[in-house]
Amino acid sequence: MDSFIKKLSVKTLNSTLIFIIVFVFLTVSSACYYSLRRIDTDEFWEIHSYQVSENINILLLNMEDMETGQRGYIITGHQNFLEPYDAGYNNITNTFSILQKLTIDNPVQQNNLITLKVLIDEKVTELKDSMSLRTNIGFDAAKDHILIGNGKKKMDSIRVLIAKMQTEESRLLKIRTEDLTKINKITELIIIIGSIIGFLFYLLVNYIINNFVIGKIVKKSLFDKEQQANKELQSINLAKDEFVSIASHQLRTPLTALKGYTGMLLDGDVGSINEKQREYLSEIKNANDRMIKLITSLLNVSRVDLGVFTVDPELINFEEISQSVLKELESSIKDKKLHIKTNFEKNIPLLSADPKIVRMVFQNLLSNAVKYTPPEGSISLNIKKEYPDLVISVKDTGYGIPEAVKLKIFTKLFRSDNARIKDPNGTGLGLYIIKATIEQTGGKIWFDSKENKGSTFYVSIPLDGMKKKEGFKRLE
Amino acid sequence: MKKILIIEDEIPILNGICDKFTHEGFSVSRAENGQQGLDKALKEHPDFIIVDNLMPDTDGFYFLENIRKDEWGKSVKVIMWSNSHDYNTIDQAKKLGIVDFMVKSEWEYRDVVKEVNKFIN
Repeated sequence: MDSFIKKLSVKTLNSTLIFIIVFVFLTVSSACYYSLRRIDTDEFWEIHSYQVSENINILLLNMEDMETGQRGYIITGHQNFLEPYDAGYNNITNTFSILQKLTIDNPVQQNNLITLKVLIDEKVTELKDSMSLRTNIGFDAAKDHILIGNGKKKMDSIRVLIAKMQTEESRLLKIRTEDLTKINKITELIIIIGSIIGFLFYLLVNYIINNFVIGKIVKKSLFDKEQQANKELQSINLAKDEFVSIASHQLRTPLTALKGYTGMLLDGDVGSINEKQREYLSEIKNANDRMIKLITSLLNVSRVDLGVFTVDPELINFEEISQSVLKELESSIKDKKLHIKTNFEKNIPLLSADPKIVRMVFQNLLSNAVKYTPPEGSISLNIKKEYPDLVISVKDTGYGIPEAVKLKIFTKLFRSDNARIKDPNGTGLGLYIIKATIEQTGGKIWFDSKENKGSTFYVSIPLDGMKKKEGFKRLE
Repeated sequence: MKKILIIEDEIPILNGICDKFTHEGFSVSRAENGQQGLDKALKEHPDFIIVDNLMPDTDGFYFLENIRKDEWGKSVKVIMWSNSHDYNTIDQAKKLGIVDFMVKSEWEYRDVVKEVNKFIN
């Protein structure tokens, strides 16, 4: 999960969080809204049931008032006892009309009301008849009419029907109350669960923001700063390299003239020279060549130290390059009568490597072996695969490296005393450049050596090729 | 006699290399910047041209770009020789049709003559 979140960009993460927040908010809000609407509806129906029940009772009271007024009038014969009757009679129509409207949605109650209307009408007729007898004939006639019991029967039927209607309304009220209680519980549950989800989500968002979003923002800010610093450093390094390049160009120019004229004098272009003159001119030429070589080496050291050199690998044949370097050294090899052995493992593949760097490696290792091996000595060059590397080794029977200076052999400008005696023209920069270059392209360099017995230098280059490196300049 | 044009701003070097080619039997013409070299090349139609890169006012690339615009100049053999020899310089010069790039400080004049003869013959 963490690794998945880490892969998301800040923008994607932000959009995802907003989407989830909106989704959770809408879900909880919708559930709450739905529950509240249900509560409103159920409360409305609950009140409705109470209203129906109340009006049924009022209807019964109206009937009872009418009956009370009727009895008072029959017993006394006074009109003022008819007040409850008149009040009940006047209200009954209105109450009935309210009940009809309230129960419009309920067919059972509507049917009951139809029956009730008939019973009420019959009862009212019976009441009117008894009061008419009292008025027109007298108390006994009215009494006899009542004693027949029709009025009581009607009133009992009305009471039974009203009780039935009350039972129906109570049943509905019970259902609505239970429903309301249920919805109340669901609403409470939704609010509690919503709050818990909201809180958990707050913790999740907080965790993501603290661990990923802020981390990414801080990381991006640091990355931007690092990029800026790298750009500035690159710019400084480029400026330094430009300075060193121009300086080396300026230094080479007079040396080129010196080299040209010395060569022409040695070639006898302006007349013959004697042996002493030739010796001196040769010294000038050697010193001049050494100076040119030193400038090139210092330029390379500068590029290696500043890290501005380019590594541009291409598929190359190591055997061909080493043979070409051996050919360049042919005259020195012949002069010293050195024995050269080469051992190239069969089927060495073309390897992706920078040809300039590989050439420098062979030039450096082989020319060192030639310089520091006494006449008639042996040099063997081996190239073989030692997975996962290609290993080049150059073994000589030369002067070797004294134990005391072995640790210094790859340091800048270092030259051991025995090497300085045998070849005063060395710069002490070759092995430093090779080591730095090889190591920056994924390879290694090391050696075995015994003083006065010889040395073996090894260079390993990954079989899957040198690492490409963007830079400003190639090594020279 | 083969005609060679040498374009080089460093007078001691120019004098030396011109003397060497004269000594080796060439008819030598000289110029000290790209424009001078271009004028002489278009006028004299030498058999071979050696041109330096970094020169005041008009450099070796100015010369190469312009000489290639001329019908005759399109095919004339040119060596660029310079002490400034980074990868981009060599690559750019090769694209402008040079036959070789020589690092001045690494070559004896006699070897420069040998190289030119190799291409002329």
